[in-house]
Amino acid sequence: MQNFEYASPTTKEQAVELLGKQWGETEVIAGGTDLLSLMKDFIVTPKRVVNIKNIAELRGVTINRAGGVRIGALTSLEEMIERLGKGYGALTQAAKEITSPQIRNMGTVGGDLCQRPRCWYFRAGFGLMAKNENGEPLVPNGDNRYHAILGNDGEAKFVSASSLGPGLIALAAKISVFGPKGAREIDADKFFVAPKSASDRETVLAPNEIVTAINIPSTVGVRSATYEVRQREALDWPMAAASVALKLDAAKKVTSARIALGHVAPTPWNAAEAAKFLVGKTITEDVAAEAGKIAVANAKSLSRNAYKIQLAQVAVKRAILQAAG
Amino acid sequence: MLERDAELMVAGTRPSAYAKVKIGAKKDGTIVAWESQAWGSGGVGNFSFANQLPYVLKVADRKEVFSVIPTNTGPQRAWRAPNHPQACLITMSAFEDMAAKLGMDPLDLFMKNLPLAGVRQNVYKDELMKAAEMIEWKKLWRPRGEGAPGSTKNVKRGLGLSLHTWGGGGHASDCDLTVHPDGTVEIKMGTQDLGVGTRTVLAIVAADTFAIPLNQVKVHIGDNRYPVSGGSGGSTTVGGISASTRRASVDALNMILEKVAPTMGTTADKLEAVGGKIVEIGKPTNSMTWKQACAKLGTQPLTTRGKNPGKETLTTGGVGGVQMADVSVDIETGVVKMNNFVAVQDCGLIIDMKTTESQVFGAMIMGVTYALYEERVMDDQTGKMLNANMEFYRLAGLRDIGNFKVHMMTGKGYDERGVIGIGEPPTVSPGAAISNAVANAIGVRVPTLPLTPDRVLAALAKKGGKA
Ligand SMILES: Cc1cc2nc3c(=O)[nH]c(=O)nc-3n(C[C@H](O)[C@H](O)[C@H](O)COP(=O)(O)OP(=O)(O)OC[C@H]3O[C@@H](n4cnc5c(N)ncnc54)[C@H](O)[C@@H]3O)c2cc1C
Repeated sequence: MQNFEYASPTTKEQAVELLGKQWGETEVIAGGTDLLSLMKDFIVTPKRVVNIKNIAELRGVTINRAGGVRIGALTSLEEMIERLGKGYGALTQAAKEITSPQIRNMGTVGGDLCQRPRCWYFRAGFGLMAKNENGEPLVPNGDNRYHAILGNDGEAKFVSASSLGPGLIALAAKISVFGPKGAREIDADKFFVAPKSASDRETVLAPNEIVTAINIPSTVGVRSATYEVRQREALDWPMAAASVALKLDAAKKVTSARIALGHVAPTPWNAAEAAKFLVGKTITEDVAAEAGKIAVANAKSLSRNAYKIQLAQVAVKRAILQAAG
Repeated sequence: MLERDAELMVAGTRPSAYAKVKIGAKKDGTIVAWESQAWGSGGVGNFSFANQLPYVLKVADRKEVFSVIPTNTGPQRAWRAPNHPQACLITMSAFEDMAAKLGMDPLDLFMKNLPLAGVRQNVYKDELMKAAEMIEWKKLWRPRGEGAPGSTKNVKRGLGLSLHTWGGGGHASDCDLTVHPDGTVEIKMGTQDLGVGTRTVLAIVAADTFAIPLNQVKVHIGDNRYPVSGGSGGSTTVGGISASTRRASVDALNMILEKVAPTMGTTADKLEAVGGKIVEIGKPTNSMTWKQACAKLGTQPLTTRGKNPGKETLTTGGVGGVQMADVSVDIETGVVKMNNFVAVQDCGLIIDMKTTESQVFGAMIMGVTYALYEERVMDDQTGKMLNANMEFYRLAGLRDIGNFKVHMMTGKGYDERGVIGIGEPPTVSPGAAISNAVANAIGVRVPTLPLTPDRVLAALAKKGGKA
């Protein structure tokens, strides 16, 4: 690990002051479950690490009367699961699958959204865009079995590692962010971006902005679920996942739907077409399967990851059936 | 000490082996011919594999070709039963495929072909029967692709079996054993405990010989100043160290019996050690506690050196084992889950059941690991290993392994063979047993380990997408 300066501000204003204007100069640390391994492997080499854990207002979960909820960025995954209970299936089911318990206790909600990709070229030091010393991309001709099948036209071929991202998109959440110009709110759907260069990041955050909270609108009448295809049960990321939120009328017809895929694109992937297809329909296995097909209709496999199209399609089908069931 | 990444990159591996196999059988399932064209890479080193095929079941009419392909990767290393898991998978899957082709229960086909296993055919027979009973084979097994009871539209259950062998035996070992006048015993040996219970076993052998409690024996190992004992390889440690310790203990006991015989009014050959005492055989009222007996040593501790090999034979080599796996495969996602996994194993005389079974459990965990997850991924473009970490170099966790059951063969025919060694044998069959179970569940062979979702789905697609 490279030596660094450590700062421990107690207000978000101070934190933002301490953060650099360029990515890479400084890094935020929350639970540290991702940042520390990135630093140990010299994938990030900040000159200053800004610990945000002493900023009290980033903590806590508040559920308002209408059923909306504010989750502070520093809330641990475990605390979020405990506080939210049943009504937020798309989010809590995803969070429960993140293991081990130690990770859920240390890892924070903000950290989950901002964690860096697990792309093995990136983690082996070939940069976010995975290039060799001649600047040639390694993923297209390399081992891309875990890489993106959607949104992979650009240079970014990795998949977003966040399991909470799709759940938040399905639940139409907004992300609260604080920076030098003050606070702003971003749709979960717009928070994640595919970077254009290796010095960019995977979210719309500026280098000196931090996530302060997540706001989920009322889930009254919303049925939601997440289905993840996991090879191993623990200590692993999903190979593909889908989060679904549905509203049904008295006749069990879908009145509104949101679907987001995880671990298949450089961002969580909003499958709006598939969601639109569901509206006005009664959920059956065939309807759910058709939505799965629509969700991956534009998927393009790389040389070794065609199977992920099938996994994503099945995840969508199963998440819909779970949410409706 | 290497860190995890260096360990995985340079310390060597269990190399892959590939093969094209043709086998011929009579309608009744008797295998009559074997032809294999196999290849593999030992990285920068050699890969000595050829003599293994066909594995255990030595079909008389056979032709084998094996080619070694050098690559710039880490060398082959003695990974728990070198070559055996690969040869076992290649052989047992071919036999299983033949059973499926003939519409036979593979249990019957393997039983029928046991004469090919030579000297250990009766061991395998007993073990196959025991394992079948433990996993309820006859109740649960269904022909390939039909799905065992509990199968659903998307999740198919299947059963598979495999058998294996290993040498074992006992390496050269010297043991210095000291009996102190206060009755405590010390063992000094330049051996090592890889985490397998070497200390436990040494103490048990001495304590058993003297009929004293385990806590009276102090074991010192892991130091060059102690008498030389072999390296831990080939499952020969327990055979070597237990034999030298037994000889040292018996010699020491005999010397103590000589010392106390006059006081007890008899001769040493009429005395034995039982329950913490020295007792006259057939006349238990004539006794002396172990402590009293050792006090006769006066101020001088008694030290003996035991050696292996020695005059009599306390160890042999050659064991057989059978494993059966019960799995469920999600045919929409290709994810394989372990339900039950059974191992039946012989390893001669068992010194301590718990440490022995623990070795088998450990082998089964690492067996599930290499059957389902474990793989070195090299990048062709950069020559770098892409998964030299704990994340993508996947190992099975507790939630992945299902239920394990272990049965050790003991009693007549086993105990009198002496101590053999257990480290390697049970690690051989898991790949083959699990691969066979998956083929049985989904109706098609997934030709490569580990059985990852992409490979399972590819095999299903070849077959038309349906199990
Ligand atoms: C074995 C293992 C399995 C895992 N499996 C999964 C899984 O299945 N699904 C999944 O989603 N995750 C998984 N994770 C990742 C885990 O959820 C994250 O590591 C954790 O949520 C990160 O939170 P943290 O607070 O520790 O973040 P840190 O390590 O402290 O930070 C991570 C990144 O986010 C930035 N950051 C943190 N907080 C903020 C903030 N408030 N504002 C701006 N930037 C911030 C940091 O600068 C850093 O770049 C797994 C991790 C491990 C080790």
